[in-house]
Amino acid sequence: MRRVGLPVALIVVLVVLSYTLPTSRLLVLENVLALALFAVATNLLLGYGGLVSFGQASFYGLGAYVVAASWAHYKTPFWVAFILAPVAGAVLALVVGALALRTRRLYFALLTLAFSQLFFTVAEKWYGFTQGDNGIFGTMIPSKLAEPQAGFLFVLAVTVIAMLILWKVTESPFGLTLRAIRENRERAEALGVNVYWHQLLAFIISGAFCALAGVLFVVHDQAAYPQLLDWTKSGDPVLVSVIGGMYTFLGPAVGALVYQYGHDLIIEYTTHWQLVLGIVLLAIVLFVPDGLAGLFSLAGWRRAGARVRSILRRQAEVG
Amino acid sequence: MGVLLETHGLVKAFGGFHAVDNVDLVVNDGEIRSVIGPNGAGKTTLFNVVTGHLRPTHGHVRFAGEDITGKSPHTVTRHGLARAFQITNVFPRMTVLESVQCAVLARRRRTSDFVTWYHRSARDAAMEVIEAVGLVEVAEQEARTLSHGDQRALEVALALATGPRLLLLDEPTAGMSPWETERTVELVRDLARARGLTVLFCEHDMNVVFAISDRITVMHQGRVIAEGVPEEVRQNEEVVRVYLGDQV
Ligand SMILES: Nc1ncnc2c1ncn2[C@@H]1O[C@H](COP(=O)(O)OP(=O)(O)OP(=O)(O)O)[C@@H](O)[C@H]1O
Ligand SMILES: [Mg+2]
Repeated sequence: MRRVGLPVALIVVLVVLSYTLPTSRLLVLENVLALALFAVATNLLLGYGGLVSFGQASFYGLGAYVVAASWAHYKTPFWVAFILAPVAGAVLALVVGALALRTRRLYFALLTLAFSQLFFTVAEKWYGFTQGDNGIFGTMIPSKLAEPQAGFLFVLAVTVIAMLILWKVTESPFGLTLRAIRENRERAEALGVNVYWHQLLAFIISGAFCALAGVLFVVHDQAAYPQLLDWTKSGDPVLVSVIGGMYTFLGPAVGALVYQYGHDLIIEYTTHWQLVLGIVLLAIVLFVPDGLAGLFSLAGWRRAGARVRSILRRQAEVG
Repeated sequence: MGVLLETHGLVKAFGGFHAVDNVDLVVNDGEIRSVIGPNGAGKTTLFNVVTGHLRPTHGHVRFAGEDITGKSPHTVTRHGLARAFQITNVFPRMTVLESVQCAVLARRRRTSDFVTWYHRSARDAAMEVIEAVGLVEVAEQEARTLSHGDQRALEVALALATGPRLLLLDEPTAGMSPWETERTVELVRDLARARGLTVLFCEHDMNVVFAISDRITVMHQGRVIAEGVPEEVRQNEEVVRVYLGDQV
């Protein structure tokens, strides 16, 4: 019951905010929701699967382009593209995953990065279809969704439903097995688990939901451009997951919130946002590897305390 | 009583060095078989080749009448041959219950099911195994917080939960307290006698070996140098010279 209470309260607050917040602020919040879904979907690989992918922006960007390009070229209705995008994400993830998952760790990360650079180049150079660097802009979403509040509520609804599905996945036998593979690949194999197949399945699911997050971006921005597939864009959900906590389901969503508002707050005082981000990341990796969400639980505090003490002790021994 | 596991002319070479050298091993259904021998004799390597963790250089492995030579570890496990490792090899951030549930789900081929809830799936079957190895009290604890002896017991539980016909145990009592060792010995005996499981294990504790083995295979420098019931092996001169001599 406690696990359900907080998210439900959060949803209620967000709905109330949609009636009270000025448009500009509502749009920021909408952005947070899209990033949160992007991060939670990526964290299925990162936190649950132990797979560091630096190419999830490929699927995010693909989702955006499915809506934008199909509108620009075929006048496809938004609702059709909305369904097509995650399917396209899943298919692309099947192809990329089938190849990249033949390798491990660093090589896997590098391969996903290489693929994402490839798709980035395609988006940039295939002018006839993507309008290259200019990107695609226009009224590609129904006019109803272009209204700030309706748009926000739509993004909220999609995010909530998508997260419920992803949560279900992580609490299923498949989710448990994915964690076992993360913890100890050889041991899971020795139990009779086909590791490659499970990781591929996770990759496909993640790809589909990253693409869905890309659709939400289009609802927010009514645009698609190559930077959406850039490798720095792939870095966002990874950073956000680490900040928020990759071993809790909603950790990455917390991370998305902190990341967005932290960014907005910090750039008011300094131009060195990247520097502050770097310091925060360092502190989290060193002292609270369970992320900010880990600090919501007593056990998380204890572990963080023990961590700080042990680092200080080691420092004392060295110095 | 038929033959369950059979290796024929099994060789595993690392470069020019033969860690397993022409081993013919026949394990009958329902027996408790131990493999003993000095450090580096090739026991773990033999297990690795049998379970598909290593590909043999030469030779064949047959299990329950089927050729399983060179099959991948997860396929071998599905044939009914499960393994507990010499180096404790568990899932650190998962609880005992979750770990064993995962093994039960693997047995039922349900690991890619994302529709049901894992809390409900396989819970009873998992608890039964956890009870058998005596880990009920720590069932909700993460594996990384367990004592060494309990981690070894979890190791056995994981193998057991995959529902094997043959259980391979690589030094199951290594690093255990006398009390834990006794518990493990009783467990293995019970598994073989009451559930009809076949057990193949290697072990350096000769009290354990002579207490529960139906037959003993002795390895030295990759080869089998003797095999027989405990009495025969105890009196074999070569065995005493290369191994048992320094055990007493
Ligand atoms: N991957 C490997 N590459 C090269 N040599 C190896 C490899 N694995 C094992 N060996 C060598 O093979 C020999 C047999 O090793 P193995 O681990 O099978 O012995 P063991 O009988 O299990 O010994 P212990 O009782 O110490 O566990 C050793 O000399 C070891 O150094
Ligand atoms: Mg060994």
